[in-house]
Amino acid sequence: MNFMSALSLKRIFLTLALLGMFLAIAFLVSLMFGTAKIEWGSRESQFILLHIRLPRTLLAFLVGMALSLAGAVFQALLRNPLADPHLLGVSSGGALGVVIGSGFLMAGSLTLLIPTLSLIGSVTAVFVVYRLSMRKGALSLYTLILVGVMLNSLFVSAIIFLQSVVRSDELMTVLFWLLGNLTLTSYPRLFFVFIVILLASVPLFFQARKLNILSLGESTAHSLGVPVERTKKTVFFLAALLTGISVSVSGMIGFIGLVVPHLARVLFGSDYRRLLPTSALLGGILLILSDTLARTLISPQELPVGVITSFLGAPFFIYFLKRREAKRVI
Amino acid sequence: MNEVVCWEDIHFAYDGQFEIAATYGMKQGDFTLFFGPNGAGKTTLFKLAVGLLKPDHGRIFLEGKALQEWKGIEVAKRVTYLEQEIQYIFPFTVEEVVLMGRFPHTASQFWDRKADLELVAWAMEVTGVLRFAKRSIFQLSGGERRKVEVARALCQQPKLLLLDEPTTFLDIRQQVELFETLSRLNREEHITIGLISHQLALAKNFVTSAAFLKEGHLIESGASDRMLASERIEEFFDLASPKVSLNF
Repeated sequence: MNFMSALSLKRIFLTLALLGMFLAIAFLVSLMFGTAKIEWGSRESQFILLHIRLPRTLLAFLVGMALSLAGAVFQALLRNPLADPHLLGVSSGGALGVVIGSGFLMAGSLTLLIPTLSLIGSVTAVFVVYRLSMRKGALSLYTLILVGVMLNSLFVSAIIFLQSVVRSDELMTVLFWLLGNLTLTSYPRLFFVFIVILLASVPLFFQARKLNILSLGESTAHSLGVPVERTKKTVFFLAALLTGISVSVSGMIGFIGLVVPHLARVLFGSDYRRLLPTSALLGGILLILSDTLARTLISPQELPVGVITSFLGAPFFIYFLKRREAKRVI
Repeated sequence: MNEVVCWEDIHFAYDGQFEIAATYGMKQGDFTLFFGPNGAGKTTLFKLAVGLLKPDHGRIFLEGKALQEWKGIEVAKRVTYLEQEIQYIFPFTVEEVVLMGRFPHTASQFWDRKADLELVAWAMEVTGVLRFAKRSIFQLSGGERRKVEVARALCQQPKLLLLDEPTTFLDIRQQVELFETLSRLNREEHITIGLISHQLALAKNFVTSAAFLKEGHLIESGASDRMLASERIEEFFDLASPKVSLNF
């Protein structure tokens, strides 16, 4: 029969091998380029490579992966191609946690405590959004998206308010961090992030077929035997966890979570069994490259990586939107 | 106990507004048309059968066992309910959409078994969408999408197939083809089919029985040639105008 498998092993391995190659290139580029010139055999260069560039590159990879996965999942869950990890207030909740916390802290201790404060903020936001979206024991996606967007703007305005009232150097650090920043890292922290992302992504891969079907609507999913409520709740918490952990170590890096899943769909197809791994790898690659640009464009100074992702992501996204409009599908 | 599905004295109101009260059973091998004015409760009846809605009282039986005693996935292996309209968010290919119909039958989360893919090919062949297999669902017309959804429903290998206005967006020729396909599946694969449609004249050629609903009540049911005779239709729909000929 002349009928190719929708998900043949060969094709998946070819795709992953291709992405793996690009990933290796991205890693090399990121390690080679930066403010300091790398000289072989120099102790200083060795230190820079091992203790500054490598952890930072690894962090960019992990965060890019996590945000893209979360974005892909939120798009299917909310049945909205415009959904992104920061849409539901999980991230701005984390940011608000940092801003409020920084008001009570001694100077100097802030950088250490940012991840903890951010996680506290995100977790609080997730539970508030979740509680408000429950209706008769079911998670109402309609309410979820509205409540999420409302809380998001509430948190953002609270942050701006606090920043206008309290002016300090500490808050400038926070502002810089908010726009996306991959500098604050260390190997133990990296390890912690890696474990959390692993624990959240592996179960997500097992939801891939259910996500395909969920994107056709809840009644169709139900008729096909998908445990709709359980799936919705599971993927919501896992994607929120991925978002929260990313924001806690890197601030609010925009557009990766929105654009990468769409890019992966165009390149590798929409089936979530393929989309989740390809989005993850593509997101990792793109964030590594964006961060390399952020470090080198105005070297020795640095741009927040979020500026790069938005600057490159926004035009791409508008292009995408126009193309879809032309096909009259939005 | 040869009833595939049975609505036993069910009563359902949506947010306090009465929708339907009915008792009806479909036997193995039935090909039944559910017809009646819009808002008669036909869709509600189907949604109740797959557990999308829960009756306020009364019970639904699948193969003689109460619906609430079935696991969701076990229901999905036996009954397919095809909604009136499905909105696609992502550009899945046709074969990806059809493959989703295998969900209740496949344990693997990642790989497709050869048998599943062969069924997908068969279902696309039967519904005439095989040539679109690799195309994005967004590039298809409404009628073609409807066929893809029927193919997905077939892939689910149901014993009972409930189709909610499957002929919308189809042109006359496609409508005839769809009915022919369904009729063949009913005869050869022994699938019991329930169908909501306003194409009474066309359906009459294929269905074996019919049930007329109005304002939430099942008014009458019986053999299709009797139920769908033109004078009965005039009576059911209060069409007293002598100017309109209903001699199908």
